[in-house]
Formats: sequence, structure tokens, C-alpha cells
Amino acid sequence: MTKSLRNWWGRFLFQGRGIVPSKRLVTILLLLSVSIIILTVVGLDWIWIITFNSLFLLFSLVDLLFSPKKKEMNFTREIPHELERGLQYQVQIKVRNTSDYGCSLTLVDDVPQSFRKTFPIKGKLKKECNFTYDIEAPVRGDYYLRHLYVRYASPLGLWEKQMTIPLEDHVKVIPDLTETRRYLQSAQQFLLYDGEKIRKQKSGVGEFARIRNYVVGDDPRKINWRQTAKLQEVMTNEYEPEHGKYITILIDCGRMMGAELKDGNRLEKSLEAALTVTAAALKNGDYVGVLVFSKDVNVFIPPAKGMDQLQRILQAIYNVKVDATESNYSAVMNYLQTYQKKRSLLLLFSDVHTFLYEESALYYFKRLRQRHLFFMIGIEDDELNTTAKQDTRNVHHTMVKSMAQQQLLFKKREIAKWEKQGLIMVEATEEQLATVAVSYYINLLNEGLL
Amino acid sequence: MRNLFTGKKSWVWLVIFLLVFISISYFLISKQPQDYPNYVSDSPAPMGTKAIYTYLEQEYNIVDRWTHSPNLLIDNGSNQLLVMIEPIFIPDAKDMSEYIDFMENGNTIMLFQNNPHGMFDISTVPIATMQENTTKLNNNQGLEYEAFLPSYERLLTEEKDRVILSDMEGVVALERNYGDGTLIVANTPIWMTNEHILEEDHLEIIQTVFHHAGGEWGSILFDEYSHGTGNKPTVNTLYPQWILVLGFQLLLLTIFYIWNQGKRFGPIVTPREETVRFSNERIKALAAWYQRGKRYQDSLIIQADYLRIVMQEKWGISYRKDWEDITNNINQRSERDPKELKSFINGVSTVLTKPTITKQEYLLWSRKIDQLRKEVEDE
Repeated sequence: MTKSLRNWWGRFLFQGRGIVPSKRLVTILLLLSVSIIILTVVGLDWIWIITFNSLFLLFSLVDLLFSPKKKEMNFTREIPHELERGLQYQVQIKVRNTSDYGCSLTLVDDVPQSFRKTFPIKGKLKKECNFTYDIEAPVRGDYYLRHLYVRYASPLGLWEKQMTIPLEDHVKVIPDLTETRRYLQSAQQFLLYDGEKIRKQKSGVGEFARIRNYVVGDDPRKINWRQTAKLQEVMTNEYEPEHGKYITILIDCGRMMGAELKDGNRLEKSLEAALTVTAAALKNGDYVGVLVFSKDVNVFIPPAKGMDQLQRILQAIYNVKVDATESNYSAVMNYLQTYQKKRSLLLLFSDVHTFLYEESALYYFKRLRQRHLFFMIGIEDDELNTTAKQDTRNVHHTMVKSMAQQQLLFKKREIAKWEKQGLIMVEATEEQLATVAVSYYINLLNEGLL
Repeated sequence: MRNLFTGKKSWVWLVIFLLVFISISYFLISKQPQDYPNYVSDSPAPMGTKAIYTYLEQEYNIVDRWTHSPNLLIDNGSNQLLVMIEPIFIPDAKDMSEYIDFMENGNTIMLFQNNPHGMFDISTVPIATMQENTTKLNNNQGLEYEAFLPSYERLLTEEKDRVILSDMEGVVALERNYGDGTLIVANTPIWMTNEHILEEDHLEIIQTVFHHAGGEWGSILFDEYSHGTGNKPTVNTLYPQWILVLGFQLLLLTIFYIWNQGKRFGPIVTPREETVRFSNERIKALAAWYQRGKRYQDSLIIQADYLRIVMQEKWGISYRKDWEDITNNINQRSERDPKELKSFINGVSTVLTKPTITKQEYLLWSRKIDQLRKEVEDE
């Protein structure tokens, strides 16, 4: 096909450009048709019928001349380049029209398919105009917006011109950081949910941090009398647990982490909790490293401190996907033994069940325990718990129920067994995962175990 | 693949493939003869009449085909011969009167038709038996011809008609005057076909007929109009105009409506696959396995075990003790009738020690265990 022919073909129907008759045109044509048919009954020649039709179409096409040319319109898009999963964001499209004619615009943006959005957007355009729409991204990952699809109608609204404007944007959908932000805003409030207070000023624990004004509720034994005398104000010593500890967060993204929860899957929740713990630890001045693994180690970020590390970690793990393979704990252990020589807290986000079935890995962990502190946190399986409490209905149901009970029994026994050897495993509900993880971390530091 | 189909090489391949296809299709398709309708003057098929047409064309050089409506015939003046061989339908009244006008203007129509009843007021009479073989025909001068005559009809003559040919059954060809012109009718178009024209005395018969028609024509026309080229009833005559206009406008509307609705606006959307993994796949599989193996006993033991664990957690009744030993402990916590409870505990401990149990027993004891479990859990 020659180029011009292809151009025509594309213009007609199958590509993003060209002209489209509007609903109004079709309606008017319908009215015209009805009147022509009525006139035919009275007596009207074919020549007149064709003349009427073609005259109408010709005049409607004249209407097209009074709308802006394609080159006279200029579009820009403003979109946040990092979207948090499940939150609503606003996207703005700025339109500039340099022609003398106004028009009514219809826009459809090339937003990735998985996003929640409402298209098309409609509006009137004079000279300059801003259009906004809301998007919400339910799936993490990297996305590209490549085009903007525009239709605009002529003044009488009989025809619409359509064009596709190349407009590229790269969007990252990162985990939902609401919990992290809540922690950073007010750690106390965040942990109250769990029923625990941060005992930063636990007496006798940690090192001397600074001297500050005495406030009601402080331990009177900690009053620094020398400073009080000097400044004529009651001053008190403040102690804080030691900082500069190493924390390695292990995130499992194997097969079982893909199990669906009320909102998102296990991996989503684990990532969000991991980021909250990271933020908490970094704020405390600890070193945080992250390791994501399934069959092999997918991502490893060596420990570092400072709030930059949070960004670094976020950028490295925002696009982690659930792998279809079984997770290989031993491989991670080997890896850790070579790369994490300093004593650290190993915080493993995984599925407790899968973990318990890996006998060999558990022995590895036991050995690792000699050097590091280990804590594993999983998400409670709601499905399993409710199944175990079912009534007896028929044989199949009862079988399933008994199997669920068997799994629960197995889990209880195994957890008890390994806890004796110093491998602590906890299951939390999906809503409380982050709080449980953070409060465990704070407790550990307060106790000075690390 | 990419190398094969890009650049100059691909064009070479394309041309080669095309040539191969064309040659194959030439050999496959060209063997089949083309289909022609019967009695058409450009058909070389056995039932065509190209032979006589070509012969006349070479002889007289004034032969032509007529594919237009008969109202244009008169414009060519007089002294014309119109040869109609087996028209596939009888023209409507308008066309018919135009044919007659044409004849009255001093022209001749020569009609060969198996059953010419209805054409130009000619009437026919049916005969009882058709001659399978050749028959003898007589002309009005007493000459005899051998001819093939596969027709059930014979012509009825009127007063002024002149018989050209007849056989024992009746008139086979006749001549009738219309104004200044004449009409010649014969009931056997098969004489004119390529297949039969040279058989028997057909050629002589045709010559006789042509002879009757005169001889000095301005032009000889073979009527193809009556063979369907353009003279079929048009949609215009079949349907009232308003229906046609309705159809036309509907077509126009549909085009615009589809254009309005069908033009893609926005990105191309492809169906997206979503997979969801449920966490209960393990217990489902295990349950199916146990059920297939009819391991009701094992399942019951697990349920009893679970009950004991729950009791240990909630009521502090030791998991290690035997069922019989904990009757009192349960009695203290449970609101059930002690006798009923005792029978339950006795039952459980015996059922659990049985080597196999039936499905009914399994369900019964599962229910009983459930009752107690509910009681423990609800506290």
C-alpha cells in the first residue's frame, strides 16, 4: 500500500486520527431522512433525494472549517510520577488553543488498564483550559502513558475532529505508605492501636542521651540536680536505647505470598509493614538493609542509615512481584552469611506455614541465631481459622475442617518447638502487621537484646 | 524471519510466490469451460448460437447484437431484422407494444421459441406425443426437410398467416404481417444452436426461414435484451419508490451511525488476565486425599485432638491426660448434663480406639465433638 493510501485508510476508521460524525449529525440526518421519505410518498425524484442528502452533508462539512486546526492546539499533562497503591491522585491536562475558534473537547488519556479512572472528560475550550481527572492504581509496578486522545467538535457540533497526541509519562506505582507516614507523624498514636506505648524513657535502659526540662510524669529519680541548681530550673536526664544497630528485613515473595487477603495480597501487606519498620528504624538512627527473595535473592540493599535509605529501599522494592516458585530459605541464609557479618536483627516477612515445612532451612536459621537475632512475622490465615471452626455439614466439609484443624495443631506445635530454640514466629492480622512488627522492634531495642 | 521478510530479498520472494500461485491457478482453473446461458449469440457452448451469428456476420457484415430496450429499436429506422432466440421471459406489455411498433415501422422480427404462446398474440396448441427422432417437415412449396423437433406445441394460424413449415401434427413456422413489417415465428430454437445447426436439414430450414423474411436488410440484430441483459424487472419496478428511498436513507444513516459509534477513541484495550491465589489450597488437597482414602478415623482423631488443645487453652484441662480422666474437669466447666457428658466421653474414647469407622459414625461423632468445641470456644 502506498503511503498516501495508508494515510487515508487510517484517517477513515482504524487509527487515532480523522473526523467523526457526531450524534447530532446522525439525528439531523434521521430527521432529514424521515422528511424525504414522506416527500417521496407525495412524489419526489431520485435526483432530488440525492441532491438533498449531498447538500446536507456538504454544508455539514463546511462546519468543520470553523474549528481550530490540529496544529493550533497544545497539550501538556501533569501527573505525579510516584503513585501510592490504592490512593487517589489528580492528573491535570493543560490545553492551549492559539486559534480564533473555541470548541468543545473530549479527552481520553492513555492511563494503564489496571488503573481506576473515569473517561472521557468533557469540557469547553476557549483559549486556555485545564482538565483534571482522578486516578487510582491498585497494582504496583512501572507504567508508561504514551498518548492523549482528543476529540473536539466544530461550533455547530456536527462533526468532531479526532487526534492522538504523543505525550509520554512514566509512572511508578509504589506501596501504600499511609502507615509509614502515620508512624513518622506520631509514633505514639500509631502504636496505641496495638495497645503498647513506646517506652523510650524506660529507666535503666539505654544510654544517656541529653538533658531536658522536667515535665510532670518524668521519673523524679532522673532529675539532674547539678543542672537544676545551675539553671534554676528543674532539669532531668533523658536516656534512650542505644542506636546504630543493624536491622535486616527479609521479604519473601514466593508462591504462598500471593494468597489473597481482604485488601491486596500477603506480599503487599508485608511490603507496607516492612517499609514502616524501615522508617521507624531509620528514624531511630539504626542501619537498615532489605533483602527480597523467592527462589533466589531478588533484591539486596546493604544496610545504611539516614532517611535517604528509605527512598533507596523504596525505589528498589516498589516493583517486586509474587514469583510462581516456592521460596528457598536456605539460599537466603547462605547469602546472608556472606553479606551480613555484623550482628543484626533479622526480620522475616513470610508465610509461617511454608516456613515450618522447610525443616532444613530451620536448622540453618538455628545456626544463624548464634550470630543474629531472628524474628519472623506472618499474616494470620483468616480462611484457615474460620474453616477450622465450621460446623459438620457433610463428609467433604468435615474433612476440610479437620484438615484445617490439623494445620493449626501442626503450626502450634512447631512454633512452640522452634521458639524454645530461639526462633520467634508471630502471626498478626493483616491490619496489625505493621504495628506488630514495629512494636516488636522497639521492644527488642528497649530490652537491649541487640 | 525478520531477515527473510525485510528489504529487497522479501520482494524477490514475494514475486516468486505470486508467479507460482498464478501459474498454479492458471492450470487449475483454465481447464474448466466457461458457463454460458443457453441460446446466447456469443456462446460457443453446444447450446449457444455463436455459430450462426458468426456465419451471418461474415456473410453480411451488418450483423450486431441488440442489448437495449426495444423502445430504442425504432430510432434505427426500417428494414431491420431482429432475431429473437428463446427469450427467457415474456416482455411486459410496454416492451411488447414497442416490439410491435418496431414491426409496424417496416421491420421484421424472427422469433424462435419452444412455446411462443403469449408472444405477439400467438396461440399454440399442445400435441400428444413428442417425436423422439427426426421428423419430416414440409414447406409451403412442397419441399421436404428432415429435422429434429423436440416440441410439445404447434402453432395456430390466423386468417392472414402464411405457413412456412409444418409437419403431420401441425404448423411449425409461420409468417404474419404487422403493418409494414412481418413477424416470423418458429417453435424450434434448437435448430439454431451450435450443436444442432449442422445436423439433419437444419441449416436449410433456417435458410428457408430467412428467405421468407426477405433478404435485403439494413441490419440484422440478435436480440440479447430478451436473454436477460438488462431486461430483467429492475428493483425499481418491483418495489414502490418510498421503500427504496427508505432503504437508501437507512443505508446512509447506518453508515454514519457506525462511523459515529465505531471509530476507536482511546487506547486499545486488551483483555487482562488476573489470577488470584487462595490460601486454602493446601487443606483442600489434603481433604480430598483423606476422603478418597476413606480415612475417617484419622480425621476424627484430629478433631478430638483439636478439641483437647482448645480445652487446654481455654479451660486449662491437660492435653496429656486420657479422656476418662478429664470427665470431672469438664463437668466443672460445662453446663451439660453430667450423664450425657459421661456417655459422650465414653463414646469418644471407644470410637477413637476403633481401627475403622463408617461414614455415618464419622459424621455423628464429628457433630458431637463440634458441640463441645463450640461450648469451649464460645466461653
